Order: sequence, then structure tokens, then C-alpha cells
Amino acid sequence: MDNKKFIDRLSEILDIDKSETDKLANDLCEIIVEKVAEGDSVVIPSFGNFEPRKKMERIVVHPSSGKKLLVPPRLTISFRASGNLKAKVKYEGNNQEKTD
Amino acid sequence: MEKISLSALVASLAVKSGCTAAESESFVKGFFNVISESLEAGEAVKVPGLGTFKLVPIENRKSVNITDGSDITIPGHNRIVFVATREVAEKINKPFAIFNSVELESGIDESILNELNVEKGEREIEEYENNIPTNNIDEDIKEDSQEIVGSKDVTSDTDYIEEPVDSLADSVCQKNSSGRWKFLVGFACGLLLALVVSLFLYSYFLSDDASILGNLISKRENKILIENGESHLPDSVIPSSNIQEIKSDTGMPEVDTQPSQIIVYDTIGAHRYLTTMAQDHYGNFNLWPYIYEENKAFLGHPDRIKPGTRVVIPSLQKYNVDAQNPDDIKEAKKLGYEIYRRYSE
Repeated sequence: MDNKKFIDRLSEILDIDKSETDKLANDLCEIIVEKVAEGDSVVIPSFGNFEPRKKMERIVVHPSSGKKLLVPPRLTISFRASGNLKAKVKYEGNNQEKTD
Repeated sequence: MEKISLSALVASLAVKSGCTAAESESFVKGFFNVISESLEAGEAVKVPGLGTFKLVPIENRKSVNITDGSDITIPGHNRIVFVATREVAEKINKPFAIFNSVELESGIDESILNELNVEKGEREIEEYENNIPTNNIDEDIKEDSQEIVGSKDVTSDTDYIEEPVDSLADSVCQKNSSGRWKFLVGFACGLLLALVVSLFLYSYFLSDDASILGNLISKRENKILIENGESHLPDSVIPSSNIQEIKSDTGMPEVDTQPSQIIVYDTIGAHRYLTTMAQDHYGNFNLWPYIYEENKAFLGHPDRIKPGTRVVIPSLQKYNVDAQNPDDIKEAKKLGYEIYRRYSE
């Protein structure tokens, strides 16, 4: 589902015009990204959480040229799905029996 | 790190967009529901302003049941992966944005590599092409397996993850040993150097005189003075016709002891005392007071004569002393005490 479809689907479900959902979606995403950039984690129940993560610097070898690059430390946003969501998507098709 | 709850998010959205709290809440919930829906249906979702949520299929994995040790197969399943858009990633990384990747020289010190992770560049580059995620997968794998069985086989799931981990282990091992080797070589060299220096110093300080100059002069003099060669021979070097005349330095008292004008000198050293000299020249260390008396004009406390001080070794005849006579030895001892007494007042 690409961006457009997502917005379409969302406006369908919520019964709001697309332009409205588009704007709201943008706002929401901005807030989430802002919070994470500030160092906080955003928790959505039954969905997951968005967390900031720091990655250490590392040396990376370009496989083709063989050059070594020193990649500096970075901050990233990471998403960790909740157990609920994971369980839902774990196996193809909802009817499949799980072997836990 | 604070945790922002859903309600906080809803409130912020309401403020930002100007909608009501109820509208905001339904929107946020709906937002994430659509994503969940799509994922449940097995389809990835691209969310504008955030990134892509997608499913990654993971193959069956053999493992062990922690409770009974029996073999178990972790069945193939899907894992959720999120990859932020480039914009979002840049925004988050803003504090570190000033740093850029630096190309390393080929001859870079390998010890640096020990401390850093080494990964195949391919993955690094592809990340930005919005394809293969990195840390997410590794962490999720670990979590996953622990959920099910708590397996110890945590390293890899799919091929492309396994590869870098192995090479990482290999490269780290190699670099470790070569770095350590260099360190050992450097350490050994330093130790060797220290040993040589200490030997050198040791030989110096163990020599008869502390001062280098005094050492040179006295050695030369002693050689000239004593025909027999070494100045520390037990046989007393009594003025005899063997001994040659020597010029004395200015300022040093010259004592004309014999008609034949023989003057014997010796020099105080770190390990050469009046007693040592007495032993050497007279054959009995107790006769040191006579050397002292001979030079008392410029000697202070007998135990505190500065190394390098040159003294005249008088002939025992001058003091009517016979080195072989035990009574004379007693006398000498008494003289010694007397000398000390002079300084105790």
C-alpha cells in the first residue's frame, strides 16, 4: 500500500476528506518524529513504539572498491512492534494454526 | 527518555491541527489501524511522513527447547520491519548531521578496527535505498527466539544476515591478534632498553668513584702509583722505590713524607672509604684514622667525606705505626674514637 492508498483508505474509514486526512497525517507524523528527535519514545498500544536509537561509529568496507569508510555515530528512529501486532502478522493467513 | 502515551499524542495533534480531542483520537487510532490491517493482510504500508512498515519472511530455524533439551524447529514466520524515510532519518540524526563518513587510508592502524564494528558495506549502502534494514532485524530475531524457546542460536536467520556476522567475527579475531602482537613487540623492546640502561648505570655506580671525573683521574693515578696494578690489593702499598712520583693538583696539600718524595693519593668514592683505603694501603682497615689525620685539614666528619675528595695516604712510618702490631691496631682504634668524639661535641 503506497502513500496515496494509505491516505485514501484512512479517509474512507474515518469519513473525512482526503485533503483533511492528508494534513492530519502529516501533523501526526511530524509530532511523532519531533518527539523521537527529542529523545522520547512514542507508545501506541497494540501497535508498538517508536524509539530513538544511537548507533556507534563503525568501519564499513565497500565490497566492490574495497575502500574502508569510517561511518560516524548516528541517531536513528526504531520501531518495535507490540506483541499483539506481531502475533497477528506472524503467520500467513489468520486461519493458520500456530504451533506454540 | 520519556514515554509519550497515546493520549499525549492525541492532545498534541488536536493542538497542532486545530481539531477536537475526539476527532484527534479517532484519527490517531484509525491511522494505526490501517497500518495494522495492511500488515495483517501481508501487505507493506508506506506512510507519508514516517516510513514503510513491511513484513519480512523468516525461515524455519532449528533450536533447542530450554526446558527439556529436545530439538525444536522454530517455524518460519513474518517479522515486522520499519524503515524511516530519508527525511525522517535526517531529522532524527540532526545532532550528528555535521559528521560525515571519512574514507580511511589503506594502512590504517588495525587496533582501531578492534573497537569498532566491521560490516559489509553493501548493507550500509542499501539501507539508504530503503531496502534492507539493519539493527531491527538482529534485535527482533533475538527477541523472537527468546519468546518461543529461549534458544541459544541467536545469530542468524536469513542468509544475508548470517554472512556479515561471520565475517565480523573473523575480522575481529584477526585484527585482535595482530594488534596484540604489535603491542607485545613494543613492550619487549621497551623492556630490553630498560635492561640495557640499568646495566649501564649499575656498572657506573658500582665503580670505585661516584664522580666520573674523579673516577678517571684516580684510576689513572692509581695505575701509575701502584706497580702491581690494582689499587685495592690487600697488600699495603707502602711507599717504596717502586712507586713513582706524581704531580698533585693545586690546592691539594702535598705532604713531603719521605726523602724520596713519594706521595700516595687516593680518592673517596661511593664505595671507597677511609677504611677501604686503609685496608688496601696498610693491610688493616682499622688504620684509617691515620689517613684521616693526615688530611684532617680539609676533611670534616669522617663519615661524611664527599665522594671525589682526594686524600693523601701517609706512610705509616710517619705515625710510628706498624700494621702487623696488634697494639698499634688498638691505638689506631682509639684514635678513631677520638676523631668521632671531636664531632660529637
